[in-house]
Amino acid sequence: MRITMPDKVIEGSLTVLGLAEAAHLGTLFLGLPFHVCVMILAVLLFCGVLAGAGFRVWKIKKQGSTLQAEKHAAQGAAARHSYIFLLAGLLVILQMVWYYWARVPYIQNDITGETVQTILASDRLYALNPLTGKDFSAGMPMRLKILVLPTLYAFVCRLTGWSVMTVCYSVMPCIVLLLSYTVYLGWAEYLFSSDERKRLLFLGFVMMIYQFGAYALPMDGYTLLFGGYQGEAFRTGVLLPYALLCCLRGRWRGLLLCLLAEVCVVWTFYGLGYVAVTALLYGAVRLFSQRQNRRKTK
Amino acid sequence: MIGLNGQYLALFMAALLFILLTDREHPKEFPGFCMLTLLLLLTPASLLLIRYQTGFYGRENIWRLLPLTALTAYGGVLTTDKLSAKLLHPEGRVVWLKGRKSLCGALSVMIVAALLFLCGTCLPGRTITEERHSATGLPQEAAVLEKLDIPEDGLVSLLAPDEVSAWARIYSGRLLLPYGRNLYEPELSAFLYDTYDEEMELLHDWINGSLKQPEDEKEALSQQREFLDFCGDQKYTYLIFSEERCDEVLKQALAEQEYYREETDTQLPYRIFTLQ
Repeated sequence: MRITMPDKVIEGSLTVLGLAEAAHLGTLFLGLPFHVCVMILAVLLFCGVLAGAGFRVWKIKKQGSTLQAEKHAAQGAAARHSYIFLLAGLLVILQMVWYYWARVPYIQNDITGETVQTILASDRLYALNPLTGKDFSAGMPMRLKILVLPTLYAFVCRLTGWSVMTVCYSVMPCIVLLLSYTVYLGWAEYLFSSDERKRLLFLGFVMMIYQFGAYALPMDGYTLLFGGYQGEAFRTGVLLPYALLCCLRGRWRGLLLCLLAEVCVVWTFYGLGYVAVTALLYGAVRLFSQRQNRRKTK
Repeated sequence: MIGLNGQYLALFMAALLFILLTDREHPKEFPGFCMLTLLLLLTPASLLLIRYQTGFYGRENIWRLLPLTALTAYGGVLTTDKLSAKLLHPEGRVVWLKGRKSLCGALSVMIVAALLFLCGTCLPGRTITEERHSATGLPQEAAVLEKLDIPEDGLVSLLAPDEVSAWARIYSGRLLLPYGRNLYEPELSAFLYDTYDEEMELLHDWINGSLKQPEDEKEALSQQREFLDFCGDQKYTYLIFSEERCDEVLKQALAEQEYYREETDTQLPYRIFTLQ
């Protein structure tokens, strides 16, 4: 099975999420200050980047000619449809500017911003009530304390010096939206591998569905465009479509990464979230289709 | 998804049917998955099986399981293809389109795009959130927070109406509040076990102006004084009142008290009082 560019991008970002979760859990359970978590995560990410670069160099040396041919093919496709790529890029930038930079963030039913501010101000993970800044009177559920996104956002704030408002409500939603479009690029390659025009059309329609379909809470567009910083958006826009794509392509490593990533970003029932349900449903469909195929061959 | 403003579920079903009936090229596993998920979501008995997933979220969230975006876009591409072929057909009724491949293609894309637009809506982008007025990203009603003097190494406490205090902890981690957003946004209780006593609820109602005032003017004044004394005793650094909230009784009580001095020149429809 061929590993595509979207696979690399998505699985790379899920690996970053996994490293952040490791640093987060270590700091949380050992009761260490947040600045130690920043150092641990920085070291982990640095090692990860080094390992990734080393693997890439090794791979280029091993199958250099194949990679070069793939690169040329991709460049050729981009050049043939450069105007469509440009238009699509402009639309995505417009979406990002309009929803994440020009509008007031949508904060209902979410405490991410407060949590990140509390982590930065107290230099501790979940030591204070994020909504008041004071000591907890009864505490916070552990199922939420283990979620990594607030720690990751606080890490980005500390590293870049950007404000919490900028990181949580502008930068991160842009990244999640781009990752979501990357997943659908993978879908386009899976569904229309031989037709570039159809692939671009598919992506155009995805963009329109996000844009015009943002009218109700469970819609993908609504979650991504109004709550792009939430774990729910990452699950809806990235994990669920990528998990299903991995199922259809038989890429089980990707599915496993999605299963693990979901546990890190949203509350799940003992680790069995929507990705697990998706995998189960797909298993049922596959079993049914295999039985039908066997009957046909008999 | 089954909202009043959009019909994407209907569009999804139409796309699913179209794919199942017309697509002979691709394996049926993807539409099969969509069909099974849809049945699961529409059947109440099946919903019981996955009820645990909705324990902490609204029931409608379960609809996220449906790969609506992927299937609808897939159906859109196939429809464009079939429509284009139909328009281009030599025996087609539309004479001026015959033989014009690019025009047929563009027209069919426009028809599908129009369908997506008509089944969806453009409104939420303008109604759910408002335009930014400051570089910080705060809404206009919370811009008063920018007027507060928050030391880099210290903490300040604030009592403000809901529209302001909702943004206070997002704006700065050094701003402490007597009660959190979960007091007036019950959905947030899922995030915390902390609850508030009746005193905090009364304080919330008082600062927002929703606390019932005694009809007798003296009693009303005494009530306002009691709350201001409480705030002073608790050493809340800042009190913010909206202009609408400042009735004559409150104005009188504020003029008499000794805990706070008013910040002037705020140029906003809020009055800020700082602990002396």
